[in-house]
Amino acid sequence: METQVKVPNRLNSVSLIGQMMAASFADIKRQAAEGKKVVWANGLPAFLLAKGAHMPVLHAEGLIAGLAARGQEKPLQDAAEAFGLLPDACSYARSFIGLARIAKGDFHLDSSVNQDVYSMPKPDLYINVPGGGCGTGRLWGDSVAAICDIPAFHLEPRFNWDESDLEYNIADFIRQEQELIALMERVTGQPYDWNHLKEVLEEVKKATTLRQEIMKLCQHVPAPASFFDMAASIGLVCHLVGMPGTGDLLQKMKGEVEQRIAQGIGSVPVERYRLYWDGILTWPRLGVLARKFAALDACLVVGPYTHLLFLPRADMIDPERPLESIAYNLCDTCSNYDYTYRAKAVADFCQEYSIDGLIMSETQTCRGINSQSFAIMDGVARRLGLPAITIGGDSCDPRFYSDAQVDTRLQALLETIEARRKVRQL
Amino acid sequence: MSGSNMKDVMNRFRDVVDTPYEKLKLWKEANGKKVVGCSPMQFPEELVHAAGMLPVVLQETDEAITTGFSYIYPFYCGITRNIIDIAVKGQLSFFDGLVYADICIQNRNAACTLKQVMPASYVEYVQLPTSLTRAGVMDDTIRELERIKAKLEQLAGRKIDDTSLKQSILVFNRNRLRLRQLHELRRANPGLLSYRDLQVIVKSSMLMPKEEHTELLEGLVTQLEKMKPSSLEGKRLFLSGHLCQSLKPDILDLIEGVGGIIVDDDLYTGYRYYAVDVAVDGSPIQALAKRYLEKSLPVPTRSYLPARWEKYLVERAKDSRAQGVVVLVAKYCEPHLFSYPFVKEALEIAGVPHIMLETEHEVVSLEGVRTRLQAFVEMLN
Ligand code: SF4
Repeated sequence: METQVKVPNRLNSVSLIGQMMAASFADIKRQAAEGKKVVWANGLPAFLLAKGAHMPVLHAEGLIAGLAARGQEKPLQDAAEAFGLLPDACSYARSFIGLARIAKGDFHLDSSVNQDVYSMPKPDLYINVPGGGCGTGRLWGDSVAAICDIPAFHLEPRFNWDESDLEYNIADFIRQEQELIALMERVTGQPYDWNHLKEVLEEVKKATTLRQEIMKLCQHVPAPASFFDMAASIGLVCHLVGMPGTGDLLQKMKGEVEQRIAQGIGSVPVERYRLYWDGILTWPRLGVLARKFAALDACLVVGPYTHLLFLPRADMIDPERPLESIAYNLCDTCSNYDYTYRAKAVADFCQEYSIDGLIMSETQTCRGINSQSFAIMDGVARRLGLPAITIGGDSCDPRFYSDAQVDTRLQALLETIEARRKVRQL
Repeated sequence: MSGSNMKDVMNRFRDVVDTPYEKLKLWKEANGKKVVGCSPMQFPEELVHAAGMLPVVLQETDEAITTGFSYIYPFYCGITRNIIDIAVKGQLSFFDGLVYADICIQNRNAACTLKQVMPASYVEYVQLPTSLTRAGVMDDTIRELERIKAKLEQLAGRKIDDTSLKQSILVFNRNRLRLRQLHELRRANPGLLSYRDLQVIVKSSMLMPKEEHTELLEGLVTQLEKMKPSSLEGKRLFLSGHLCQSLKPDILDLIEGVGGIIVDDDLYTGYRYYAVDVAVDGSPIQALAKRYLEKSLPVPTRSYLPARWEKYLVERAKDSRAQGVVVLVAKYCEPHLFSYPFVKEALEIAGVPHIMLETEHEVVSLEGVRTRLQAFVEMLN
């Protein structure tokens, strides 16, 4: 009898995102060669403010996640480790600091390595926009700034310790945005182009709205797109944020999703389990994980990293009020609140997306993303009667990932879901 | 103060340090005062003191992490995991408040977890500016301090006026002055007092009413000033790092056991805690803000590119005529992990030999560390 291999049903439009990302890196090099001042940034897409200064932006996670997904992260991490950075430090940051050392000429890659992939133009300005008040972004930005001898600006939303803090925190963020704009004017020697920023925000509004619509469509059973597809689409509202064509690509993606719904096609061949993922994907094991879930009839449907972090408040984007729009999207989001707020968001997810179980990925070197994992497991999962597991992993360092451990725990999770289903049927 | 009195004083300090939370609980019962735990490094304890409460700096204890594993991952730094662990075991419930200041993401996560696991307690998070080159940092710092002041007033049930805040600043300055005197005495003559005892004295200052600590300390300093210089054979070492965590004594014993003499440091449970005073003229809140922004020593938990820690460290190490630097990194401490490459580079450029050692909350075999330290000390000129 012929065994059918179940493989993930990736959206076709996702491959176009990869092409667009690759083209953008080439474009940054071209613009730098033409004398444009270059920004390196990490974190959330408030760095889109650089567009109004006509400065191309190299977004750390955008570049590194792509490299890691192709298994090309190691030379960057080697460059950082040769500098003295220990592997317990954030692997995104380590990789980017490695890139800075290479750009500065302080580290030379082995001749067997494809040099072009790692040769990026040196930055003129660093912008750090951490999610949820993560102080590691500051360390990361200062490290690159110190290596490259450039200014660093930390555009940091204040954490909403009490929900009543929000109003002040938004005003504070807008003040920071204005200060950054003044700094960019000094770096470029040009007045800031507010009209261009408005045009960029129009594209951002279109793209983020479409992305939200696609996510909502994934509440459908079977889910027409997975967490993996949505993770790839982050590039369109982050590294590529505001670029012409990003909205159109998401429109195409939405069309594909709608077509799948009409045809009853899911993102995995058989969808028996719908799962929630907390944390960042282990990018170097992206393909392995996608195949693993498909083979087990499990679909990763939703997670805060893909759904709540990157400009999630499309409704609050008004191109006429760019600074406020960005401020709301940074300050009034899940990652900027503590457990109570986050627990509600996760519980809503579980219900809206008909989730059967939760996977808390440890994302070992990112303490910004994994802080409330146990609280969510204990609070939300137990309250909703959903099983939850933790699995080892990391954003870009595969050393923290173990296939055997993931297999065992995943198996246990799915068995628990089955057992609970049986109990419910009794 | 006689030699035996000195011993009594040290025993008193040690007693406080060995079981800090038990002692504080007893102190609270005996004195009927409110006690507020402050996270290490940046929060001005004077504000709590001025509200008539006892401020103490939260300390890592030696207790093995057990229940805490259900609340936090093992790849968080020791102090964060330990405090969460003892909090869920109920050991911090006697505190009337816990005040956490933003120094790093792990500290922020600890504050969030404490808020969740101690719902009946007052847990506050203080966000002083961390990017010091930003415009308006003075106004922002003052605003945040005023906000916390108002919250502490609520907790204490009384106003903090300028006079009481100035009085508290004077009390803290006096303690800092005595600690600096002690530090200088020891720096000039390390044989006077072991570094281990110096650590006990500093930690006890973080855990006792300052007035009582200063009184005992003054007697100790007077006595030490009278003592004859005693010569110590060994290599002069500067101890650096460990950010907000205090040191476990076994590492100090190791350093001294292989022939090292710690002559100076930049530790928080060391020079950093008492290096600078708060001004007593003008507005006291502004003075606290100024100490935070302009006077505190460079530290990687805050961003200030013009004066980075590594430059400061090289100057201090040279100034203390140290032959080498021991850099202690608390495992998983991100501010330190990211700074270490720059510290390493700066020390190498300056020609100052150093060794980096990682420390952990869990007791690990120190044999490997001993061998490395021994080799390091032996190669120093
Ligand atoms: S500064 Fe370092 S040791 Fe202190 S809480 Fe932060 S990570 Fe932990």
